[in-house]
Amino acid sequence: MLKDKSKKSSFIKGQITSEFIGNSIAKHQSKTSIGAHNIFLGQVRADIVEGKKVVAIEYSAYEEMAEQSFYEIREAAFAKYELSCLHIYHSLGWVKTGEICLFVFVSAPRRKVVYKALEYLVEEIKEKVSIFGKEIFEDESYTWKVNSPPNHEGGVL
Amino acid sequence: MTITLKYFGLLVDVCQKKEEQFYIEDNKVSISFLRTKMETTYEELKNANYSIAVNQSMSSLDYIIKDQDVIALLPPFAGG
Repeated sequence: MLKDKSKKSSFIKGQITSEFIGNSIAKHQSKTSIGAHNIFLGQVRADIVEGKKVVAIEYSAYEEMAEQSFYEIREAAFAKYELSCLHIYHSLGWVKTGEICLFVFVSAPRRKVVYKALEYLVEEIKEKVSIFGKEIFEDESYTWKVNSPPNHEGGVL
Repeated sequence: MTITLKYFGLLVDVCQKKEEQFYIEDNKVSISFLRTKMETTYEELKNANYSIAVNQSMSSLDYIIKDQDVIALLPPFAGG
């Protein structure tokens, strides 16, 4: 049943469904050393840009480089925090507003570490993974999305 | 020597393609020099914000390009 971690893709075509998320949670019921899970879900927001409403984001990526970055981020998180396991999934292609495009799932024996690890992972993903997003408007015109840098103390720009 | 150039996101719009091969006669070409050359070919690149990866790792501007390098022009990331 063991899978090669490095070969598992983090990309999913289209939205990440609640069914997929539910199944991921259920799969952890056999891992009874876990005492705490923490989950981050990124949802496509209907931003208004110059008077036009976003209806979807079309994600693309430099996939080989992105997979390598996901791998490095995962390894760094395992080195930094005492985690039982962690999973990262990101959408590629069209994701409509209100749908989920990022799913980060961390698990550990005790709770404190999962809060910190999850924030670390999400910020690292936003900053370091070569993913690009085309924000599509109602009239089919588009603009390219840019992630805003974290603005809390100690944030990087 | 021959290199492969890859474009992503906004830069696909700017360059009107996702990938191309570039032939370079010189043997000592830095990323910085390539950038200047690219910005002459695709003028709109001058107004774009992008970083450069060589063989899937972020590169410094003084890196000397080798034959068969895969060079990617990456606009700001937008994951999540």
